[in-house]
Amino acid sequence: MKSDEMDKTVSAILILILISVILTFGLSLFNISIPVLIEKPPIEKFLWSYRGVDMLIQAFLILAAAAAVSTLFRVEKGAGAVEEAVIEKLEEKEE
Amino acid sequence: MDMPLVLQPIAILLIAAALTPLISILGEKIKFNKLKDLFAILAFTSAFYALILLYFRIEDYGVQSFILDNYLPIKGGVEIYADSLSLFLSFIFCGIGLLASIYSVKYMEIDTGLDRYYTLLLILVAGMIGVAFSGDFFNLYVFWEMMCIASYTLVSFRKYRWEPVEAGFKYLVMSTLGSLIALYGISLLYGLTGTVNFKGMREALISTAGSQIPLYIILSAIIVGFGVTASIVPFHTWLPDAHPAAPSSISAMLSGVVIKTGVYAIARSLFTLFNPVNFDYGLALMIFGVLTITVANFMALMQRDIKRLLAYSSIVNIGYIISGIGIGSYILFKYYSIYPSTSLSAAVFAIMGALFHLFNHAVGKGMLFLCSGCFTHEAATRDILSLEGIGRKMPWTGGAFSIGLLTLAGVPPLSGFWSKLFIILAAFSFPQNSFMKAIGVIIVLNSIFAAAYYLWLLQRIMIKTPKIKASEASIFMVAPIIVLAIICVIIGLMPNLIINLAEKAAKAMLGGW
Repeated sequence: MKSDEMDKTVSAILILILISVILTFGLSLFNISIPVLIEKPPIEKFLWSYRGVDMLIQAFLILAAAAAVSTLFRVEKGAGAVEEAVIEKLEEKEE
Repeated sequence: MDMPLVLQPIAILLIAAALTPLISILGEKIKFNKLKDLFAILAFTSAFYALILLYFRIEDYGVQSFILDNYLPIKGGVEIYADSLSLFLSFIFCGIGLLASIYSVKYMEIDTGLDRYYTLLLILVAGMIGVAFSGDFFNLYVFWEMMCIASYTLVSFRKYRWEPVEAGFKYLVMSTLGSLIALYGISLLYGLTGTVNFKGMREALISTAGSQIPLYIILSAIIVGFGVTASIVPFHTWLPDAHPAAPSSISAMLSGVVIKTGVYAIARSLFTLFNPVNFDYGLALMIFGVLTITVANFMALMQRDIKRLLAYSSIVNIGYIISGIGIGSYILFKYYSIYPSTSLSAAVFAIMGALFHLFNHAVGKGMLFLCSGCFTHEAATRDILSLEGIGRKMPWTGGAFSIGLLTLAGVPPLSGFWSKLFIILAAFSFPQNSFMKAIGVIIVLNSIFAAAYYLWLLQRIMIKTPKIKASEASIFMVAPIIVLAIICVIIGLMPNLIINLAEKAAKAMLGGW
């Protein structure tokens, strides 16, 4: 039960991080003008104006990785699905 | 808010993926656990609708592109790009994704962690559409990795059994190696051209003088690297383990669409960057194609596990698709300088046949895996001998399963017949070329061989006396199967519906940028 709550907390934190990333990098995609200071260093200009799309995609790549890890470490409840492969049967016979 | 239409299908799926865990929590609060399932179905439907809008936009205004060009240190950079080819593939990806999500409502009911399951399923389809919509290698690679991460995990989703964990790990290792080989090829291309944008690379490569040998090394890295995911023999060994081990809804996605992303990446990269008139990769593709068909056919014949047999059959069909693309490029390399217009028509015909077969296999194999999921859901086994006669106990699923098998066997008038016919006719389009004729004969013989084991499976499942008790699966599981079966029959009777789209996609593939 506790781990379930833990899962939800981690998911909620991840979602918050993701939403903040979307709000920062995603604005340029929605054509909302962002005040840009001319004195900003080129690297920021580069990331915001040139790599906006793939920065955003990479944020989702992190979401994919987090979801993947969280899936593989989830706690099972019950026996789950039974789908006997032929190889499993043969091994049982050998034993 | 004015988001470019070309970004919308991907954005809808990714935002929905991020919101699914929250929707799941909300569903638990209001005691409606299926809320996340419905949300995922809604997301796929919305993305499909966005693709339809994009189709009409492309019909009216031509290719659609989105590029952030406020600050461009390098000419031509990161770009989201959609043409008829990208759209053709994306419709298949999103359509099968939608049906798999409907199927999962009941099929995955027994499992836990479904919020993450739908998150990963949405990310998987977003990644595939992203690969199809990438106008540069950087985006393509990032979307590719997104797709791969989701698919490794979905293969291992039922981690409480040893088989999915082993299969997922094997898939992870082999696919990562493939991705790295492809990345090496991409990095060499970047070194040569100074850009990651397809258009920029193509222009830079045209002006590159000197030996073609380094370009052939790059070309090989791309074929081998993406060929692992496309499961071309001899890089196919992960697939017969991964596809059966995954839940059937995911097997339908993997066999139906994910492996096609590998074919797309090979075709798009080669045809865009290396003009088939100047580079002889068609020969390699044809040899890889017939090798893939032949080896996988023999392996399929030896299987007793229904999902494993279907997995080998997927490799066979990838062989047909690769052969068709290879025939098209080989014709251009050999004959464009002698018969420009005839060779171009023959090449378009071959590639159109390959793309039509890609569609037929996605629909047919997706349906077969969903049907096998219904059978195993009832019988709890994948052993064909134990499943004998189960189709008679489950008439809707069994009927659809028969249509799927006959489609892939190439029985007229079902859709698989037409696409195989186009590929074979293209192989015989230049009768003076005995190599192409030999390829055509090998494809014909393999088609007959494959039909034999499809009919053997059909006889086992549909004609034998039932051994086990079973009843028809839930409407959520049967409905997607019926839809796919209807598509197989309709496209078989009216192939022009898809031929027109496939022809446009083939021309987009050859037309480059």
